[in-house]
Amino acid sequence: MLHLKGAHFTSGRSKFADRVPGSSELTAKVYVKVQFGETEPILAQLDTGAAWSILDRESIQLLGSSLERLGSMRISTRFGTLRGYLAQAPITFPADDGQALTVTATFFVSEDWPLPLSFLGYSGLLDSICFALDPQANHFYFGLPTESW
Amino acid sequence: MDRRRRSENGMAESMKVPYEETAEEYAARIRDLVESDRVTGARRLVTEAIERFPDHPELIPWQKALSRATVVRVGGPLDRDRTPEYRWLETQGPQYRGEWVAVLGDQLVAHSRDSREFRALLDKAHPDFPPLVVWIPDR
Repeated sequence: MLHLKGAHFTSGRSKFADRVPGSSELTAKVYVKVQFGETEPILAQLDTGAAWSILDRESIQLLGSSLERLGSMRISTRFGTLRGYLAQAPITFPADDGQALTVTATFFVSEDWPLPLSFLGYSGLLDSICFALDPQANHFYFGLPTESW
Repeated sequence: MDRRRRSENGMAESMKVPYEETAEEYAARIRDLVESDRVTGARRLVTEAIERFPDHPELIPWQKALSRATVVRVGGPLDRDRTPEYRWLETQGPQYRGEWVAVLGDQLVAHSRDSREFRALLDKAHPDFPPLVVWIPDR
């Protein structure tokens, strides 16, 4: 799909939304399509500034037993300090063109997370893949790091 | 008791008592680093801790949590360009604030405020292609 100096950079592409209706966000954000398990695609917010990805309640239910609970912790969010735990789960980036990518990534899970929206953060997810945005066409490109090919 | 000993040149020097950190203490320090978003430091520390305490039940979960994502699969069924769905959300979405909606092309497949009811409606609708599922904020 995309090459950098002759090497693979990304292998799939999907169209992202830059806003969702009703959102109080004043500026454009990047909402990319993801799937948790064999379900319909949903939108999750790409947030490179977030240390961790966060799963919303609906996605936690869909993942069920494929969510592997790991260390307990708390994180500071705009909703205050939330208690929860880190967990690993599979996430798929479905492709409109090229190839979809499924990885097992680390997420923060908390009963107290109030939004029905998942966030895709840096550690254990975005730091493990290659991705690029074309903001003119709203294209999200994704793939594996070069050494994985 | 004088805990100093004499060096070869006769000077007194302090006895160094090496402090042995336990696996539990390592785990607590790793958690502190993780909670303050110092992930690189936490990764370094968990590597050091695992070298000293391989297979320790308090450290293995942190080692996993701090690992990079691993590939499960490349490929699978193609999705499709959801521009019509995004356009529908833009124009019709505000009528469904606070609800889950499933949209396929420019058609609403299911909607509900209650996620369980929404899931049941979606299963019943059985569309011929997976719709896009979105929750529309109400504020």
